[in-house]
Amino acid sequence: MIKIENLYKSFNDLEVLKGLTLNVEVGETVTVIGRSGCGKSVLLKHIIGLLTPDMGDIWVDGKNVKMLSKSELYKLRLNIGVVFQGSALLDFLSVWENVALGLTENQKITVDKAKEVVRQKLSLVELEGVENKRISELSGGMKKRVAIARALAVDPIYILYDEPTTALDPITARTINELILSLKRKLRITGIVVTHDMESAFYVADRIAMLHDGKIIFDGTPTEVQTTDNKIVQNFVKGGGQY
Amino acid sequence: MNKGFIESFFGYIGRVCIFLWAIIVKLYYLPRSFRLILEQIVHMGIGSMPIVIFTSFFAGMVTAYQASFQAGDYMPDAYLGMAVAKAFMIELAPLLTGLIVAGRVSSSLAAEIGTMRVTEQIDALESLAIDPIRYLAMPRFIAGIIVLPLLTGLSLFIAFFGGGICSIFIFDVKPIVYIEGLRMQYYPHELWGGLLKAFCFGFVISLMGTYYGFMTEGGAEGVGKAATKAVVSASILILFFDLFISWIVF
Repeated sequence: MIKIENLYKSFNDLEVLKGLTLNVEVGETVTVIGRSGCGKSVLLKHIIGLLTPDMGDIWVDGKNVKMLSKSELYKLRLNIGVVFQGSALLDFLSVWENVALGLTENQKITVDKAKEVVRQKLSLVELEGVENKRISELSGGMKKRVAIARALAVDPIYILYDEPTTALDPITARTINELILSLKRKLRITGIVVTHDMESAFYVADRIAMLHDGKIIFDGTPTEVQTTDNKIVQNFVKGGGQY
Repeated sequence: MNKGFIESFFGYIGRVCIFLWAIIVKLYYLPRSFRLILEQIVHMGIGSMPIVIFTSFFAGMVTAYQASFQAGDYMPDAYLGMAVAKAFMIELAPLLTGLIVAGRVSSSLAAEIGTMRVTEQIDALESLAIDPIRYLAMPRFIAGIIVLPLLTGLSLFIAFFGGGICSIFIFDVKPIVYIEGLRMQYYPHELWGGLLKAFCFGFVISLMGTYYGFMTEGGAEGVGKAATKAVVSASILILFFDLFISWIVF
């Protein structure tokens, strides 16, 4: 379970998070929606300990992330897969080296065994025969799939998606949404999806939380999001109303 | 002196020292990073060889030409070889190689790591429980320290060859006389002093390249600034260490 309590974070004079509270139960997928620059990615970076909160706590499996030593934090990160916004694949490595990175650098594993795991994970994201390709040879959608395969390589308990459908065409975005949903069903991984793509949010979420002005102002099921009276949520879901 | 300048200067020194210490601590993982170090040695060393060979060959020829031109008929032929040997062993080979590699490698390190920083590749490494200092900075730092003395040795050899070509074909010096000149008044500490300089230059080139890469902020503009800062600071430090080691060793 991931529990975020009263989280505050500022960058210089800019207050980004102002008392954010959110719980993610085991097995569920929560989508965090909100306008660009509202702090959604900042929230994800706090969960994996890349950023330290000014105030507040993040608990992952009962462990307070900000109190962990570096080695404990690294151990925790092995349970959390992260899919970054721009895929963040290491471009000097091949596809298989990227997917295997978390394994080869953290475990004693033979090359053959690592390649076998890579093949399995790539087949899970419906991407086969690209193991030896360079990252520059892949399309945007393929990069996203490789990034998901890399996040899954160490068999994490949690998976965090940062804008998984951004910069993708509608058809590729839909296949990525379908992939997220099928992985959730197959692997039963707890997930947080940060997005401002409402189609994606409704498609993959068990619960949708809206981040606005540094706080979660709404938390409910996709149906509740569509029927809420909350003007800010309505406005966001309907794309700012009429032109 | 301006208080703000003093604060920012010592702040900068402090940040570089902390970064260096973070690399030194990761030397514990040296055996595990052997493959990464080897890749960087090949990347830095092989990649820099053509420009080092080209520059050293012409610099060797120019040194022989200038020595002969300045001394005129007053200098015995054998001294031509000695002039090339002395100039390159104690000064020109490490300095030329250092400055060339600073321009090529330091900027490339800063740009490569800086791009990784702004495209979240370094965050991705962290999320995979991989220490980016151990995975990226330490192998490049060690490779730089190893590669520079090797390239300096190569530069020395090529410069002797270039100087020889000039002496033999332009000034009609007999090859045996030129080679004898190279060996004349040879003191081992001059060679080791030159290689010590190269070692220190490798240290500053890889340190500045990786430091500015990791400190990159913003987008493409930030990467460009990091690459420029890496080259400028590495070049300044090379000149400083050149003087400092000359003062200590010679």
